[in-house]
Amino acid sequence: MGNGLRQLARITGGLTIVLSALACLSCHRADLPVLPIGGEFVLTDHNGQRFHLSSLRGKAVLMFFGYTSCPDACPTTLSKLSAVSRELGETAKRVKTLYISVDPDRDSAAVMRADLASFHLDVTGLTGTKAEIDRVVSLYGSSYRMIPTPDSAAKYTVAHDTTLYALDESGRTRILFSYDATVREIVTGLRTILASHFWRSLTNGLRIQRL
Amino acid sequence: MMPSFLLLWFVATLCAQNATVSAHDAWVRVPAPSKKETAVYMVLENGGSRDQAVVFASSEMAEKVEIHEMKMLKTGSTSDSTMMVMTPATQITIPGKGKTTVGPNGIHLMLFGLKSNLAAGDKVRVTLKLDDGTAVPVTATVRN
Repeated sequence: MGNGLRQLARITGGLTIVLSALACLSCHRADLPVLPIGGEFVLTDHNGQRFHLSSLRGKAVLMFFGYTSCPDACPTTLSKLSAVSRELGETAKRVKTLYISVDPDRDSAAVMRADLASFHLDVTGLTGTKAEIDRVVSLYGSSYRMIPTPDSAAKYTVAHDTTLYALDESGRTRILFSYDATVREIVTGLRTILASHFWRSLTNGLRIQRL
Repeated sequence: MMPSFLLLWFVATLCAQNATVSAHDAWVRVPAPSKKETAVYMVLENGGSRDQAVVFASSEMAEKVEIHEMKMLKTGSTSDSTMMVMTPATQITIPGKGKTTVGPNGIHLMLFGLKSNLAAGDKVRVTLKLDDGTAVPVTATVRN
């Protein structure tokens, strides 16, 4: 076999690998429909600044509802998302976590800032008026309710949905994780979202080149 | 005359020695920085044949200790979605010759009104009172 043929074989082999990878990414994309819930919202972040979801364009987002007096589910979710961040490594820079309080009476911006500081995670705590929070809860098909506990020192607890929402870089809801989703499952989901974004960017780029 | 607290301690210790219920792997979740409350977890074992129950708990580290239970209920608002519900409970039952896990996502103890800041590695003493009046002293380690 001449040098020219060997070079052609190398190029063909390389192209096959690239095309296989792109086909794989394309498959992932097909597995991730845009879910008919969610949308743009405005709340107050843990620094007291107004926060627009659209400010996170270009990043994947993990989002959940909770409250900082929650002794179990919310700290467990935050610990799990810290593990997700560690597992993602450098890719974690492309992911933002949002923790939306459904207990605005107790969860001021300052309380959320203090309580989130103990987690090694790129997380923004969000709070707001009850009307603002209810609007976001409704947008995402979530739910919560206050349960009075007059005989307890807690005075009331908040029953809340534990769904973890994964949004793509355009703010569209792509995956819903249940409370018992594993770190591996969440990491795989995020990588799929980010890969599909890469695929879209690439195909958009090719389209532009063709023009 | 023996001071009353020494007498109480003596009685509690005597009861603990005869207790059929024991606790191990006890730990306290590091409280969130702005909070004066946190959860206590452990495994309770009952060496006796009769069911027993924890009906009260106290700690010198907290103003009040309560029994709470976390349940996950299916909501149906979205597929696979569950709602976390936390409510006070009246007792923790430990079946005869069995054990009960007092842990995250289930029945557990809550410390309210913490009297000092807790950090990982600190020890917290909690006394459990059973339905037959027995006191079970527990030492829990603070951790994340």
